[in-house]
Amino acid sequence: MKILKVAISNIGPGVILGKDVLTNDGQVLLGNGTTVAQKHLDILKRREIEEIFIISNEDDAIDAGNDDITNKQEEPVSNRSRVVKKLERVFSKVIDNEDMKKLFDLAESKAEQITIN
Amino acid sequence: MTTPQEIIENISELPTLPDVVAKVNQLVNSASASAGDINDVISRDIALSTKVLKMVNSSFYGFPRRITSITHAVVILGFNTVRNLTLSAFVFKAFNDSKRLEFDQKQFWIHSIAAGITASNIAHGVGLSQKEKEDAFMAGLLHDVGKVVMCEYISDSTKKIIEEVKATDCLFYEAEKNQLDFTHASIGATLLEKWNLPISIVSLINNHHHPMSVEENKKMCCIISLSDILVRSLCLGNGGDEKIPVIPDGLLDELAIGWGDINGFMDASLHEVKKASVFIEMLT
Repeated sequence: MKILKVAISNIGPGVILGKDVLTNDGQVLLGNGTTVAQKHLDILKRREIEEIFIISNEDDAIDAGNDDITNKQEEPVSNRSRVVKKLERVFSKVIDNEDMKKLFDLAESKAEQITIN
Repeated sequence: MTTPQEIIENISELPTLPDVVAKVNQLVNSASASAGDINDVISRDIALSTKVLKMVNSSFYGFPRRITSITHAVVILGFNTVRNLTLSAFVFKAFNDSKRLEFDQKQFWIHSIAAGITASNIAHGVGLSQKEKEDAFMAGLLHDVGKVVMCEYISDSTKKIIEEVKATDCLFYEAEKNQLDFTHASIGATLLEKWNLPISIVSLINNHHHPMSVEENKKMCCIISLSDILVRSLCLGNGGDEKIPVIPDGLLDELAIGWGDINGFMDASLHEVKKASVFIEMLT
């Protein structure tokens, strides 16, 4: 038995997942071992997930490695990560100063409330 | 060597303080003036009266009932605040149309307004008087006004400073020190002195980058310096560079504040700057 990486378009209901399918934020959408039903395929298509790992008994199956399959859509950069990046730039020359590190940490903890124009 | 005084004196078209603002300033400084006296002066200038009432009735002050007369505004807000409002309205108007500003004008004023609000909150938080709180607002608001004067009237030198800021990713203040005999702090202070602002505010503008080296008014000076730093840490507007100065050694001890206090000041700034949109609207 091997784990095979396949395109959604090449499979039908009844295949068994060889790895978890994750959402963008790391939540398990479908767990390893799930027998895929049509409703699951519909969900995967709606989320534009193009490939999954399935369990295969065929001899030509390949070793899938450790990559998890996630939604292939590019994740939008969150406001928080933009703010943190900006703060890192603003503080880059003073971060070795103990007080300024504390100030950076405080500002970073408020990143959700900060807006960058 | 060129002095800030020479720069300011040689700018013939520098905005002069309008009579009405000068008169309000004078009345506020006199011991015998009444709210009625201030009303008489401001009411003669319809545009200014409208702006002051608009600011007074904004969510920034949050009064439950509408204030419809300048006298009422003076009684409720106090002489100093009304003086500060008239001066703010004038400064925004005087420099609003600057075509030579080398950085984003709106972001510049948001930085200034945020510094004013933060300075006022810190002054309140460390137990200073109402008058000092109002002076802190004014000084915070105007701490970088020298930069606008420089962009407008000594644009060639200022362009070179901005180029150095961009090329070396340094503070505006550091590039100034490398290239000029003066800084935006001394230019701003000289301008405000010429406009007869109280010396207590002028000295705060002059020393906001080295608060620990002053003898008089050190606490207030530390407040302006810290407000500039906190506002930068919260990315509120932009004063012309993308960096942040370090908190001067001993400043927190001078103000007798800790990191819990700073956390509170930062939260208050984030909350209150959003409410200050009336000031920002005046720019557009």
